[in-house]
Amino acid sequence: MTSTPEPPHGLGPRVIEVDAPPPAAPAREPAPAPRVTETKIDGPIARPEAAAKPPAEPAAPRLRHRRGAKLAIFGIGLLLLGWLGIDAADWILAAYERSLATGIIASVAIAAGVLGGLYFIVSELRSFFRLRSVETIQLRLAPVGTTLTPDEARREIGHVLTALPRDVASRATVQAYERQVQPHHTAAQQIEILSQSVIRPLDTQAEGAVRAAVLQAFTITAISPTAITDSIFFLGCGLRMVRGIAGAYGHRPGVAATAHLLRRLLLETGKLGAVDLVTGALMQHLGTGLLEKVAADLAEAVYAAQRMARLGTIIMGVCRPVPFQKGEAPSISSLIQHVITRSRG
Amino acid sequence: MAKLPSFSTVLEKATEVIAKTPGFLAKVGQMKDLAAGSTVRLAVTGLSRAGKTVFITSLIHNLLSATQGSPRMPLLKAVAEKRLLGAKLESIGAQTLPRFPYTANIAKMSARPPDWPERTTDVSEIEVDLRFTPANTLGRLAGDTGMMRLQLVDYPGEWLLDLPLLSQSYAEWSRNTLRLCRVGIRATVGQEFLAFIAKHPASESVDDAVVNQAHSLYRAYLLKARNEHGLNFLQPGRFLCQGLLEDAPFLRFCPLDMPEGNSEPAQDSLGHLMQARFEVYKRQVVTEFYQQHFRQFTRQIVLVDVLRSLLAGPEAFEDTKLAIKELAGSFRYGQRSILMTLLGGASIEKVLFAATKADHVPSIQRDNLAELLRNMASDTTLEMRSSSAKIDAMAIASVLATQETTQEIEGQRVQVVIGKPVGSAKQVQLFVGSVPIRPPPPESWGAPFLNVPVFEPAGIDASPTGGIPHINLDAALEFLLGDRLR
Repeated sequence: MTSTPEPPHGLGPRVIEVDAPPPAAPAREPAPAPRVTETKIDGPIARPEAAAKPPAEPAAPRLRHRRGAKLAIFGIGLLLLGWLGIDAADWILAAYERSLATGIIASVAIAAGVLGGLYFIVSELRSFFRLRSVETIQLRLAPVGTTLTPDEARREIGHVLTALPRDVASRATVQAYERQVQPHHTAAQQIEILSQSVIRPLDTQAEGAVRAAVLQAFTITAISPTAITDSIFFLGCGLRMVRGIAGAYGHRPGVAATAHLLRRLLLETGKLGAVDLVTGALMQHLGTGLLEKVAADLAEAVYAAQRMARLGTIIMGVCRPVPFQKGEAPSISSLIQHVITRSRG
Repeated sequence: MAKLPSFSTVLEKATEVIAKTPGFLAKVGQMKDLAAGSTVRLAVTGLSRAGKTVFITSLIHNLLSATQGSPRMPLLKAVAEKRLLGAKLESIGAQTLPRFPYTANIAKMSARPPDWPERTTDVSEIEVDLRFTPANTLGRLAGDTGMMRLQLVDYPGEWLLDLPLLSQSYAEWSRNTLRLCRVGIRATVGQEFLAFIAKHPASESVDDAVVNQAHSLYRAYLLKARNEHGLNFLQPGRFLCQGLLEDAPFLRFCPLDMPEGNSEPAQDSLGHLMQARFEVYKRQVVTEFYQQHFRQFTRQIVLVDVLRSLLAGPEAFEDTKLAIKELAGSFRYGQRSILMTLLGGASIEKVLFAATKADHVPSIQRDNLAELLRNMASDTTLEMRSSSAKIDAMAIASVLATQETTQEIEGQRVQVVIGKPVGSAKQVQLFVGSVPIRPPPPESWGAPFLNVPVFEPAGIDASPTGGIPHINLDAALEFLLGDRLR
């Protein structure tokens, strides 16, 4: 709450002459300590005035997973993991059946791919967890219905600004923000100016990370030989994208949001693996002509790109210090457009 | 087989039809505007001393400065998104109206010591051409650069209250005006006038001296009500600010006690002469003013000095409320298609109620000021909303003239604003008390406080580079024009 006192009722308007020029920064009274004081007022309390500002929107209810749903998700995850593992094992066994040498090469290739992917995943996670959590700031800076006073908003925005990347471009946008924001701006107006002048350029950087991940997901899925390598690389690209987006904003999602994101990422990875396996099975039944194989690979790749773009926009939403307003979030089509154009070319 | 008419006959007939169609040329002009780009006619409406002239001056200066890198308009999205490429005043051409004295106003405000623009005494016009990068697909289809012409008209605020006269007869106006005049503070202010007309009924024979005396007393009442008691709903507006019509004989009329019913006053009676002059006034002055300047608006800002009305007491407050209601009745609201606009004249799609001089109120109470205005205009906005016009209310200060600080008053630390009154050597602090969000109940009104200082405007640069410090001018423009700059 602000320490600035509300004008009391009963004091009439007046003009007071002063000799000294106004102080540059008026001294603030220390906030009085909380206390309970008896009054002599009888009767019920006066009807409270409706807030001039729109009331704060109620906080979104926390997601409550039922135990059954959790078990089902775990079971599906286990199924997919097993399926992918068996698929990789089949691939190795098939290579051994051809010759010992190809079997060894396949085993080494899978082991190297899995180890490389795991190392990649661990290093991405470590870098990601070094970033600051944005959850608290994001909740407080929700521009519509914010209950912050201008001074409180200034302090919160100060926290956002200190966590931003320290490159020249970011410093310039912060300076532009500081030039634009005035003492009379309300909390919502400060947040709007912050969003326009500082966060918008960071959105562009984050979109760049999403586009790069989309392209990688598309390419790797198109050329990767097995479903398990598809999945591992998709997971790796996804984690890299998460870190890239979080790094662009200088924040990472909070613990709950991170857990949610990683769960989604794993789910998408599993879906991709499943799509890959189903396509493989279909190809076995329908024939293995080159054209059909290329078409199936391309469809999988486009699917992977689309899922990655979707994940990207979700991650941008949870890493962005100021939640997206209507029309601000990038569209999926704009994020995968370059991939489609390249594949056509 | 019937003989076809010759080309010259067809042309002659067409010319005749065009000549007989009222406003045809204006409609052709609108089509030209639509083809060439977009013209927004912004109705800057406000009662006397609401700050119309300063609003227009600050708006133009800040728009021109925004294209030169001034950081004062961050809430106007076209500026924030760096899409506003250029702004320029339309060059002086063959306009029918005098040009709005933007340069002279800026010169006054940037002088040492700074001062406010002269009081508006006649109608003037200015146009600003804005060049911008379209943000939406539709805009980009039309080209890389969008154009918008912003038309603004300035006029004495008092004249605005003449518009409701158009729907009234002399007898109706007289009855309404005198009913109001006989209540509360108006009865005291208009005592002399009321006593005079009581002695000279409408049926009395015309006497030039009586007519002149009645008119002079009525005008003196209006001036006193405005200047000393902060009242706004004062008709006819030309009696307070006459413009170029100072000596026009038809201006010499006033309300009289007219008998109930539709009976016409007798020939050569005082009532008959007053009625005739009232009708000429409506036809020659009010209708022309309305037709020329108020029919083609598509956006409207209603500037109201809510604080002054609140501090001036319950009568001034109710009077302002009435004035807002009467004013709104003179405009046409709602969304219209382009075709409908061309065929039937424009209607206002967006209305912003702006509580001006927000810098006289500490920031913690500004939302309350806007909310109070929203409450004052609630009857009016109900009607506007039903016609699908978009409406909002906010507190604005076109030019910032104060700073905020705190002050101990009667043992309580309160927020006050501090500024330097025009012509004074010392700064003063202004404490405005508590600004409620709805009209205070009768027992809560204090004594009228009319001593609100006129603070010097903040020092500004005459060249359009640094802009003018303001409160919410950019937010107001975003609401009013933002969609046309997409």
